[in-house]
Amino acid sequence: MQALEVHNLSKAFGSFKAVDNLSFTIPEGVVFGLLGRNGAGKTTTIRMLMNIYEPDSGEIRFRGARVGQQFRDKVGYLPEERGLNTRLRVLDTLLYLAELKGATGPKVKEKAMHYLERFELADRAKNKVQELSKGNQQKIQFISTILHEPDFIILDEPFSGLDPVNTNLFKDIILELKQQGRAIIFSTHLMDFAEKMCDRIALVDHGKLLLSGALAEVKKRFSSRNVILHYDGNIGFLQHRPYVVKVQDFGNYSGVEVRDRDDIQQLLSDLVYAGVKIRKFDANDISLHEIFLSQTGPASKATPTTTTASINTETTGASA
Amino acid sequence: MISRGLKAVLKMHLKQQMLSKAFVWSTLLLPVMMFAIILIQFSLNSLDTVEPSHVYITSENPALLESLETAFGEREEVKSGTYTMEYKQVDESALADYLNSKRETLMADSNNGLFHVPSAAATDKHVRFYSTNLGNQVVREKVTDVLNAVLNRSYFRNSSLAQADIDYAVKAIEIEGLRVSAGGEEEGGIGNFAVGFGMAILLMISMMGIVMPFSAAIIEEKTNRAVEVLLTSVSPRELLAGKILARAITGVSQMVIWLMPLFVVMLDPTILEIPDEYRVDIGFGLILFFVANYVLGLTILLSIWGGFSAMFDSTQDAGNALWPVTILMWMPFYAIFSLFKNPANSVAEILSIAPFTSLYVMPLRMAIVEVPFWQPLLALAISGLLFYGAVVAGGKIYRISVLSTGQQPSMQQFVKWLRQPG
Repeated sequence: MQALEVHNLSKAFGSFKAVDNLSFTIPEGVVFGLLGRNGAGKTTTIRMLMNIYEPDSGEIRFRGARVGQQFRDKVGYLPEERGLNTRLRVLDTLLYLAELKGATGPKVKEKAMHYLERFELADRAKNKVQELSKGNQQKIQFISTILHEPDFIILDEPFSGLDPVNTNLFKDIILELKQQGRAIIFSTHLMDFAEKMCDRIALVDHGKLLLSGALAEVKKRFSSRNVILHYDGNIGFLQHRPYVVKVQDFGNYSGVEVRDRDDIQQLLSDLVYAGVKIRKFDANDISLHEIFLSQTGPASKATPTTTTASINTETTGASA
Repeated sequence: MISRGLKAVLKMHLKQQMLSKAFVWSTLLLPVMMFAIILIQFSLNSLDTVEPSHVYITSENPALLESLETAFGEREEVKSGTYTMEYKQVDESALADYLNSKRETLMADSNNGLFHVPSAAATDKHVRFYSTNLGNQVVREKVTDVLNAVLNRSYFRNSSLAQADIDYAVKAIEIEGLRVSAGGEEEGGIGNFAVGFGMAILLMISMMGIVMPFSAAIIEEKTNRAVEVLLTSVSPRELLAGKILARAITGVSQMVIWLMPLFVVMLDPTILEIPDEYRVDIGFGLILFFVANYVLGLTILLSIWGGFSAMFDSTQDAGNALWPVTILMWMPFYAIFSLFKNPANSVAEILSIAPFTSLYVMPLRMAIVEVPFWQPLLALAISGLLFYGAVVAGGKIYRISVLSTGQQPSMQQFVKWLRQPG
């Protein structure tokens, strides 16, 4: 059963089309990655899901019914731009936001204390939010997102600004929630996290859906002519090989796209002949990062199937 | 019915408002400070600062001079030696020389003075006062009273009037105020005026104390993006309504606490020994009107402020743009001064019904004059219409602008927002 169905969603601000006829579905119990560059329309889409913005057209259905207060109560939302009433005390903030979702009583308080302990903030329960560091405020906001035990969780860039220890803690809890059968929308432009955590993805750019589906299937679709290569040495000579369409350098590894599946054998042979020390040669594999760049970056404007080989060697960081 | 979301917002904001130190301090200290200021002013005004003075009385007329000496001799200030008097018969032509001879004494102390009573004063009451301190009302008043009485008696002495008639003519008039009402006539007026005026001041203090910080709270919640999380649970209208209701309840609670001494006096007038002319005689109808009027006024201003403040990203921008709304808050207070000379004048009558000014003027009018029953009802009805308009407009503007950031909306855009349905 689909937890959420988005049909032909559109939203414009004046003449700017933020979301343009977007459709996707999210089954129960999956982590769904809503991916795209900054300004691609992810946050606007999420705000429409949350009924913060009214769509110009289109429909959103939660478990078959149009979204309304019932959906709002069952959803936990961590916005990209964090914000809490800093004058309130930590525990009061958590209980207030839970009450807005209909969760009240001693069990909620008990659970709030449990999460505070888990995030090593139990001793700050009576402190005002403004007395906490930014990172700790982010933890409070994350707790408030899941405290009312939502069936559906929307996390807009959940790891931004977190140190590695807390990133891991967030990740563990998100995976726990997934194991409990909660559907999670995970909006990010950080492909490493998306690749590790998502079951399904939708990639949007300029408000339009570029691709969607199960992550494994998407990768399969893009990986048939792709090799992930971990190596030591110089592979610059690949630029002059006619069977190479594109080389993307990610620092620790490179992604090489060849013109035809049969060219993979030739690639391996040429690398060995050139004395490149190969540590990993993964044929038919492609990172989400590569897919993202190929679909949304400048390279997406090039046509990989052209007869003239174009080699685009890019050195990029994690963000697009 | 109150929705769950509205209830939660209301509960949280009530807790935040009423359990704050600011609420406790303002509730306890503001009226104390206000009444302390009034008391200090009253005490300073009534303070009879009789300081030692040396007063010269000169006159061309020896008989008049003698009468003045006798009259002044009976004054307490003279008997006690606070005022030392010196009398001298001086012709008009010799006055300049006499004045020169006393100049040093007159300049030595600003409380000293010379009163010259020419012969003509017996008919035209024109007396000259010489001093370095012409603004010394204490010396002037004390001497003027005696001079007036002596000149009056001197004037009538040669008439055929009996002494009793002269005493009658010299005596100052005393007016006893009796308030006419449907229930009869009774002494008082000053007490009611003081209570009505006090209520208007409390109204303004409360309005300022509750409405002004509302803008900052709205803008803070908008700029720190806390509002986005809240709007995933409640509608903008519920959120704004919860905030306004919490502040209105806080305001009414504060007002009830402030009015508590008045309730006590109303229930048992003998609890305080108040002179008849200061007696407070107001009914519970006025109190009910005052509270209803206050709630309407407060919610009107909160709706306008809340809605309009959401258009801005900083309190400074909001303050600059919302000054006309600020004027709507404090300017009507000054309308109460239209009642000072004649509480029943037609301007006061209009202001007591007109939107915004009625908030302050009507309760004060009702406290000091009989007001036809339809006028408070009309004032409430107009405020009610204004309340509806403010809630609709404020809610609309808040809903549209609370998530928008960046450029401030133009007037054209603002009007477009107001015209949007829903």
